[in-house]
Amino acid sequence: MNKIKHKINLANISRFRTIIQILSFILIMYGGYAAITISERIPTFACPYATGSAGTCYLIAMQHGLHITWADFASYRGFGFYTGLLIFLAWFIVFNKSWCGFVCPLGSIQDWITKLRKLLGIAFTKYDSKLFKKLRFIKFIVLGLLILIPLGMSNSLFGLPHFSHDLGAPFCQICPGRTVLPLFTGSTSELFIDFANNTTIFMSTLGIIIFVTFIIGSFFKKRFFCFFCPMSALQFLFSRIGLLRMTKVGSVCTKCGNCSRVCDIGIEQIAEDITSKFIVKDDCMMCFKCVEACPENDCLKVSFAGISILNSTDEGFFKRYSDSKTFKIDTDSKELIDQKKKND
Amino acid sequence: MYTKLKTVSIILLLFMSSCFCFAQENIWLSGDPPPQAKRVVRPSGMQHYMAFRNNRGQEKLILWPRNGDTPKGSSYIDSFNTEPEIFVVSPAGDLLEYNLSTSDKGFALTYAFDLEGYHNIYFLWKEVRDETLFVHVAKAERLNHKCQNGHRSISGKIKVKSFPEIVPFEIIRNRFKPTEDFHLILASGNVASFSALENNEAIEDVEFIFVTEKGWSKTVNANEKGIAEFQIPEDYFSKMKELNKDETYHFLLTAKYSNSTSGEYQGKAYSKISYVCTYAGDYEPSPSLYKSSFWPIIIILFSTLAIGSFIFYSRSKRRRFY
Repeated sequence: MNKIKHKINLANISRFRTIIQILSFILIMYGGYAAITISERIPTFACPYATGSAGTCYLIAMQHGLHITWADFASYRGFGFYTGLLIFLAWFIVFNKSWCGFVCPLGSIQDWITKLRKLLGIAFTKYDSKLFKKLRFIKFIVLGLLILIPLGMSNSLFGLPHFSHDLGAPFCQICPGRTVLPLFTGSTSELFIDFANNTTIFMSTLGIIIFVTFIIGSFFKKRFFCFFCPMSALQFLFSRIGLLRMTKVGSVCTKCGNCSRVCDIGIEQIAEDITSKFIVKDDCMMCFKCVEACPENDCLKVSFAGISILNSTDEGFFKRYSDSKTFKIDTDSKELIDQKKKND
Repeated sequence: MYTKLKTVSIILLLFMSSCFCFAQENIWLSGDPPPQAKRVVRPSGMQHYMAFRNNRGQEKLILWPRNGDTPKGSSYIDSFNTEPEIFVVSPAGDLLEYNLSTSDKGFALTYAFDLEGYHNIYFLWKEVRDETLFVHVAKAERLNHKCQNGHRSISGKIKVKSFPEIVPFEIIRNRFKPTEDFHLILASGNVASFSALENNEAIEDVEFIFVTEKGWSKTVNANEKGIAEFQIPEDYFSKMKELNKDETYHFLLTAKYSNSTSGEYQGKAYSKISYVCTYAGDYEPSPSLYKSSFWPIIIILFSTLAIGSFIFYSRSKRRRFY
């Protein structure tokens, strides 16, 4: 058992993640063609607008579920919302936020765009600390709107008139998943401007602008969209009950900053925070790159239902970063570190 | 002379229509409420069916029997000359309870609309006259779907279901395979395919008459596979700013067919059966009227230019900083 654990600690987790991402992408995007249906409330992007999708993102079900009157929350229609939430949680509890790091097709697409940028030798962009702290709240605002707008379509919120039904599932209208994912099935059907009325013109135009921002943003900033993703915000609300956990032993941490440097999102707290045990932050996508890059024994740990499955080790760190090309610290990061040193 | 002739012919016509009222009645089931009912019912769900809620909060769907050959010109009736047999069949194939009565909603059929999938509603009249069995069926198909209930087993739930054991002759709308799902609403420009089933067999050469709201009509005979196709027209021309993409227009489809089957019904022998089935449906403006694939290209170009310039500017600024 210890031997297996030792091997895992030395293993190339990023390569394993890439394989899982490719398999998940194929399953989610094309599984429907093979009559595979995973679930309609999975905690990751799986767009029903893409023909052949094997599952449906929970966000669309949630928006439809909230598009009911207050009274309906106590009826069978409300029951549909509650059962939907339970199904979402059942999926989510097992894998926690690793849905984002390992399964999400939009996340995988962003990773592939990053690979393309690296191939072209173009430097990446990183938010500075101040901007990072300001921007991280956007996803919670988006989540709030995603909940309030459907509610406001069936109810009067704060004395306001009911919102237009043309808002439909409002987040889906601007979600890059709706415009990007169907492209992988050869369909451009979601790239349109709906001139039916002012609401549809606004929402469809915003959807196209977000589509462009997603493509360009992902090219220059790793996991650009994940920073604003309401699914990530929703998952974070429940991340403490997940069976898959990532913890940190602050007393072992030397604050070398490797973990923060390899983080695609650029979470600095993971390096700075030496007091919290539970280290999964709202932007974390549980890709475990930080665990791989941590040179301190047992500083970062990944466990499932209390059973340790991956620990940071100095042996693992040196093996990964000396043996394999994949794990050499990102050249872009190197540039950034050099620049920072010069600046200091 | 001319006036006298006209009067005589009108009297003759009225006399004939009263004698053959059953044969000439073209009763169909409408989802469009009469003026007095518009205050108490409202469109519900993505299909915009007229519904109301009872005291327990249960949603009930309403259909109004109407008499006439065109959706707009048909009158709402408040009773039947001959009482029909009525069947409301759930998506699971069970007969549902219904209420046919006159109330503030008019003379209407109401029933609980709970299960997901297509509900089939039939009004059936049978009568033997002049050794002919006249069978008149008024049919409606109503899809119940709420996205919050999920989208599993779509093909099973939208499958065409016919019930030869209760209705010998009926019109079915053939589904758009493989693309049709719960969200299909017929639109102008769609080619809708229909068949008429006699005891569950599609029959060829049935005469189908398709009439739109404004009276445009087309007659097509079913082909050798028993299929009749109609491209739904656009017989309304609203100004762009007045266009309502959710506006529902109605069409009425009538299928007529007779054969020389002999038999006996209620002790009366017949040597011929004459079938008439009516089927009313709805359609919306074509999405091509309001959805543009050209403008996204322009927006993509401008957004790329704007975002690209912003990134270039911010990067050049950062270089100077370092």
